[in-house]
Amino acid sequence: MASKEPTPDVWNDDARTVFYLPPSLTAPIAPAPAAEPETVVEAPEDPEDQKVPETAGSPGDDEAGGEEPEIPFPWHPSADRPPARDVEETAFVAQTAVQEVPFDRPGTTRVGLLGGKGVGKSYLFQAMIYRTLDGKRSGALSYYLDRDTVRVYQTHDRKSVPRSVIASEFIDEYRSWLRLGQTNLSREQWYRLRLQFRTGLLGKDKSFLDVDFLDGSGESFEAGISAEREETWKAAFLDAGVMVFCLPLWAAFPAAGDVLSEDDWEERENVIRGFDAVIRHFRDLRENHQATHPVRSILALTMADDRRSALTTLRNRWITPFLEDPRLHLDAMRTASGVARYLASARKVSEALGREFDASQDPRISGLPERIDFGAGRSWFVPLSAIDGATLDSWEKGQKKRPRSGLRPPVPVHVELPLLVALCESHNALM
Amino acid sequence: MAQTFDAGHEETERDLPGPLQSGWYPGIWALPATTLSAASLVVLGVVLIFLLAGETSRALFRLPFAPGWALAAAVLAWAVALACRNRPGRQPPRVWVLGLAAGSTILTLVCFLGGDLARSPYVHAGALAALAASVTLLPRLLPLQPDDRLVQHIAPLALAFVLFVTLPVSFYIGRRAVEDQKRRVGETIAELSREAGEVREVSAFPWNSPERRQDALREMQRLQVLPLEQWLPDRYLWQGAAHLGEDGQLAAAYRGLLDAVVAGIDPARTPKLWQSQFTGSSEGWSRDPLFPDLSAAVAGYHLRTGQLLQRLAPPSGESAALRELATYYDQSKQEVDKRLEVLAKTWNEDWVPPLIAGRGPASGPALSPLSDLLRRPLPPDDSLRPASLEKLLDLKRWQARKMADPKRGCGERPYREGDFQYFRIDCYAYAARLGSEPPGADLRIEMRIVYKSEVLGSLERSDLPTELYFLFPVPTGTDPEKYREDVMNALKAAVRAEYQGMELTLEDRTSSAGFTFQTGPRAPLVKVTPTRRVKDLSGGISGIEVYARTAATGRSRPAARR
Repeated sequence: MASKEPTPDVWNDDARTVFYLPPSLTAPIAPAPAAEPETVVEAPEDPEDQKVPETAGSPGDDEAGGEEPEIPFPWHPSADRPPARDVEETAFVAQTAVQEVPFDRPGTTRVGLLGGKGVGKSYLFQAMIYRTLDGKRSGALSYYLDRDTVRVYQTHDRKSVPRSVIASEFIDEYRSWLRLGQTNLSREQWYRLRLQFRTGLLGKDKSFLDVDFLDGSGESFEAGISAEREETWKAAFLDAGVMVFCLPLWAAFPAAGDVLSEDDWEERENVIRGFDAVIRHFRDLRENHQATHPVRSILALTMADDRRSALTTLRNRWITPFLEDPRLHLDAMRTASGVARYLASARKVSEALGREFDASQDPRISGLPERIDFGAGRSWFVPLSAIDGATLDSWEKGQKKRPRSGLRPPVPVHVELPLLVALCESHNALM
Repeated sequence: MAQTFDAGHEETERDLPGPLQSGWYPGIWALPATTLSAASLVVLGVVLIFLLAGETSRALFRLPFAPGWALAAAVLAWAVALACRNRPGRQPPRVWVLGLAAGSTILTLVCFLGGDLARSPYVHAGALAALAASVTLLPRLLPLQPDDRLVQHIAPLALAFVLFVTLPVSFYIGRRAVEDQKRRVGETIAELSREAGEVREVSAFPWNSPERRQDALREMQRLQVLPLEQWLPDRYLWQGAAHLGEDGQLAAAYRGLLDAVVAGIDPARTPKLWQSQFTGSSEGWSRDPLFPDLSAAVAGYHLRTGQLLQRLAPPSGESAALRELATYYDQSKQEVDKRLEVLAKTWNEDWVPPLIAGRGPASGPALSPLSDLLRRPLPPDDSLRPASLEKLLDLKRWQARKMADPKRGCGERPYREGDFQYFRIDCYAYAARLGSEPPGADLRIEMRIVYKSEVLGSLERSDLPTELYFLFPVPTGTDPEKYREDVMNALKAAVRAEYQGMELTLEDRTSSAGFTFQTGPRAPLVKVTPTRRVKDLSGGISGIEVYARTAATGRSRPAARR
């Protein structure tokens, strides 16, 4: 990891300030807190890391593991790491040069990412960054992205000036198949994913799509808007023009028979209740502040690769081909015809899912499209997979004995589609 | 027995596409920005081919008010280019809309400023095609989201709609253009014939009749207002006429008008100016009130006939009729040029060629040197010139009367003043005034051969002149004293040249001094004397007066100033 290398200075990259933790802070930081000790090849030396319990199931399950010790996310996976605010205060107090442009600035397209506990919000955000790291292999976004365009900024609260972080380091855990820990209230972080595009009469100018992401606690989102949390909710979601709501596909459309265990059914109930609560709170927020602007809703149906889902045809036609040959699809999507064909397919899939919602016997599911309609027209339903949950599970349960370095990189599937929809919403990019 | 309920979902949608749907439908060949650009390109090509593929359309297609169409195309294309400039995406749509906007702008400029080119059927077809192409791009202004079904259909729909509207419109305009062209060719033939008749009528007018001066002015005015310019067939009308098989008639009408104009430039038929600009009397000098109108009319006649001749230069073209016409025009022009060469060597009309040749005011009137002008022949037989002072002073009155020909710039003036009877032959030379509006002529030299009777006597046929009188008005902006020197130097040079370098006796050493000369031992002594004072002719214009007398007839004071 680059962050392990002693890099005492703050350095400039492309006129932007990128932050390296000083050696004094990086030294105690150790990786792989989420893995079982016996399966970890590169076991952390710090005994504190052994206290981190093992996790299992889908990525979202671990996010929801409220009783587990907190795993600092996303900076460095170490429980020893001092609170982020402290890091900022001790390490950067004298380095004003690291300041970046503030979060609240004109022209930013606010994209909110919202969901209850354990639905995979953090995975989705990391998968988005992972997907956009290489502009040529960014799926449907490749057509638009300029070279070397992805920038990630982080801050602890919106009033602070954000810092630029190294994107490849930021997704290190994700790339290494390390389970992301649950985000709790004290570790909330603000992120901005900035994507750069060619614009101008001759295509020589640049414009940006900034995706604001509050990596907050799903539990707190479900808990509602308290007086002390209202400002955070407002900053994160009130002005958003595009909202990405996360719900696991299997929770919306559980497989029939005995595919789901009792625990799974119970978890499903929790997820749906949490989702309903989150939607209710978002609606309340808009009503309380008389927000009338339309919001384009995108329902990200996460974990679409999960076999607990009843939609096997969808998985086989929409997810599996991509997983089996991602390079073929990514290369095809770089072209104008590839993007057009992909969007045509995505629209059909979204429409089919709309009908699938309508066919559900569970009124909480069949009424869901209406509940997430905030005046900007029909919602998008995007089945996606941020990471192959089966591989993650099997690796963590010890079924895979290979070192992590032997694993192929994760293949996020269709995670860039919400970004493309947001880009079209904000920049009318199709026309 | 209690029924069991499976809370699992039953999949209903099984007809799902893969991530990359394939198909032939053009709507999914690219994103709408690109497919609309491609549709726009196709529209441009199809409309151009539709309009220019047929020979008739290619020769005759005209848009009513083409600049408006081109301007609309440019405005729409620029609106799309500017509105879409901040949209992300690749180059082809940007390049296309920018190219279309630039091309439409150029077409607009050509239509507004392009002159002959602005009437080209290609330009008109380009304007219509550019407008159709720009309209095809207009859907790019719509805020279309990916979930909209129109995303895949917008370009095919735009293409179909624009072609559906544009092709019938093009066909209709093309038909109208053919009919218009037929009508225009017919009207042009008629108008050229009418104008030829009018030019012939005007040039046949008896200009030298002093009692019909007002009619003459009206005739010249007719020539001025002849609307030839708006009826001159351009190369595209020639093309249309050739296509309609009427180029022969058009060429005949054209030749008829050309012949009439060339005939109107014949010096034997042109109006002449033979009038003094200033009138002298016992009260002094004043401007002749008739002179400005008369000079403007005569100058205007020459200027207009010259313009007509130049306008009638046929446009270049490939048709046989146009080639023949070009040859015919060149021959006519050569004929006119020869006439102008002759005119440029005359005493009274050397100011006319610059007007007919259409020399601009900036190039100046191209004045002949005074010394040359003074040696120009007065009667056509070249026997007498203004510098032939001795011969003129020896000219009997009956001989002098032969010089009174307005075509040569001379006229006779018999009158009585006090106890004396006078007879004068007045001859005038002019300089063209091109810079003024209307253009006209200024008197350059007035020469009088003055005959005067004895007190209470009468003039006989064989009387000799008492004096020669020259008036040289000082050109505006010229120092009178300097001009007097120029005049006297020119007179000396002309007299020397007239008498083969004869020695002149100068009154003093100044350049403006008078002189005497004697052509032989028995010849009378001729004395040439400028007045000491430069006369104010009127309106701040001064003049140089010079007298020539023989010793026998010489008197110290001028004989007549009327």
